[in-house]
Amino acid sequence: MKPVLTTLSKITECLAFMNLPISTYNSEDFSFIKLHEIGIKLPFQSPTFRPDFFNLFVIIDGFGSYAIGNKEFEFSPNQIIISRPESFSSSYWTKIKKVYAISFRKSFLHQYFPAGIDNVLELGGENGYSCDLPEKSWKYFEQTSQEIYDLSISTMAYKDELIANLILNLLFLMQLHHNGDSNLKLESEKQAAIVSAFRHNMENNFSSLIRGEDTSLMRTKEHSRLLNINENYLSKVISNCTGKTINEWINEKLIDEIKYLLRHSDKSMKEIAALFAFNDLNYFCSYFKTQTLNAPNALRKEFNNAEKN
Amino acid sequence: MENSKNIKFTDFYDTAKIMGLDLSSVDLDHVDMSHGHLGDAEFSFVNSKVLHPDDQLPFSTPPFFTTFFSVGFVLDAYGKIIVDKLPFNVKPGMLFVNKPGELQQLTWEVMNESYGIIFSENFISKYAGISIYKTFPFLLFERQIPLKTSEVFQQELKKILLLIVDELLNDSTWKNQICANLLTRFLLKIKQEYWEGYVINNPEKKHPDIVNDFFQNLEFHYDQLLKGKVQRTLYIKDYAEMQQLHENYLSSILKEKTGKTAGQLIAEKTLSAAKILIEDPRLSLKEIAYMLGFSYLSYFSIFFKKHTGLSPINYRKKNLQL
Repeated sequence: MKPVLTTLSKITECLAFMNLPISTYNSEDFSFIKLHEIGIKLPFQSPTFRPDFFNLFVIIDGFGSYAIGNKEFEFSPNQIIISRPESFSSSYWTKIKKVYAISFRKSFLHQYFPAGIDNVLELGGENGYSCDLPEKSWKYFEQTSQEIYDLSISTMAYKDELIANLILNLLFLMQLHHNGDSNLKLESEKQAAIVSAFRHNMENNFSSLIRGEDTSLMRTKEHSRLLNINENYLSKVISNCTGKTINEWINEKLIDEIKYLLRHSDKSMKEIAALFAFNDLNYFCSYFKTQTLNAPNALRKEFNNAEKN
Repeated sequence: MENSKNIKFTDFYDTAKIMGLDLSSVDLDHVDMSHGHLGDAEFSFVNSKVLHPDDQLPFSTPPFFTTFFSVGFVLDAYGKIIVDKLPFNVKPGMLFVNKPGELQQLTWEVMNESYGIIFSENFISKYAGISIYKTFPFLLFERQIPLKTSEVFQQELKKILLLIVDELLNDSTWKNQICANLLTRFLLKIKQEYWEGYVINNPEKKHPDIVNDFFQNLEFHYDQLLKGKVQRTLYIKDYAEMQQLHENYLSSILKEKTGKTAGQLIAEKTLSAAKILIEDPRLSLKEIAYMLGFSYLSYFSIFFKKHTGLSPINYRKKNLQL
């Protein structure tokens, strides 16, 4: 069964969709849900949505899978998964014994810690990553998550600041135990800020395309204009720091999004093409073929067959 | 007043010496706890029990001015501390927070468990991304009376301290960020416990505190400067006018209360603002000089070199390498 494609993006919208109350500790900026306490009927397939927030799953005991952009993760006990905003994602659960879902927006952290956190939120240039912690850190992680929960339902003064502080602490901890190397070489704050701003603008551009608020895909020229820096300089910083050129970033993201829709939705080819501002279906197919060496239709069939078997 | 004229302003290394710690023989990159001290000039942790063994008690420092913030967390120790000429008895369960430029004298009589944290404004703004002025204004503007802590609160704070020690010992790539993060948590807890609802008093309150108001105006102005909201730097005269005082009067009061002239205080603030700006590589030195009210880059360079011994460009190079 393919998940339903929805236009949900804000935390509050997702909560409303799940029929959860929106209270003081579940706002547009931050929410903490104990998934095992809300009575989810298993197996559970969430709809596909584009969160505008970071998602942090702390899986103490549970099984399932999670897809975000081009990444797929298997949920298993003692695992932590974090994902970035502005990509299609959906999750599938077969067992939820004890799972925390922490969602927060970048602006939530930024409002209290306005500088120096771009680097840790880049997640090594990926859409998300999973991480296995050594036992001691794991215990600390679990305790801290619990502390965040206790804070979020309390009425203490300055609790948001403390929550943001604790979340950052968890992010640093995850960064330390991150599986695999980071693709990013961010030598200075200046570079980190540029890379982060570029990614942010690119993701926003995609989201507004999909919502139909924008009609053109931004390329190098538009990006450099938006950031107020020289085109050549922007290209140089991005390719030096991330190992990918601007066009590679954009094409990869575009292909990821298309692939995701081909696999996980029933949208017709024409609709998908229109979504990403391709005026001509032929052009869309040939573009896709040059990038992936595979026709979009073939990919969809392949995936459908694989699922049937 | 006579005696305080002779007292020098101590930087971190001088203070360490006063506290009975000779750092010249200690390799700061080598991480261990045997000297009762961890960290560097920007951020340090002190375990007083190790630093002051029983056979060296009672131990007393000469009076000194610090150039950094310090937090003392006394779990089980007795002694005396004199802050700005006000003596306090140090007893178990006491927490004291001191700001830069306060005259201090510390005496230990019995020492079983006590910890200290030393940090600079620069450290917390660079690695935790916050300004003390905005997030922890009480650190800057209030006379810090030693605080009494409850049993529960002590445990909470101690937990954070132990995490800081772990982190300093681990020496990972994100050490500074994590320490700054934990330090922020420590200070947030203090803010939550003691300073809930604290707002900076507006200068029109009934009993004007000239020194305090001067610092508030100074901090506010430089906060605005760093954000680029104002372009002009202010002189002693301007600060005096804000309080409807004559500049000579303001200067003499400041000199009497803080041991420094208004000019020195402004220069110090300019210098710390300059350091923050220089570490942001997005700004050219010329821009920084202009922001801080120097009409020529060379004036700025001379000023900076005079106070730090390094030219701005060398300072930037040195910091960006680290």
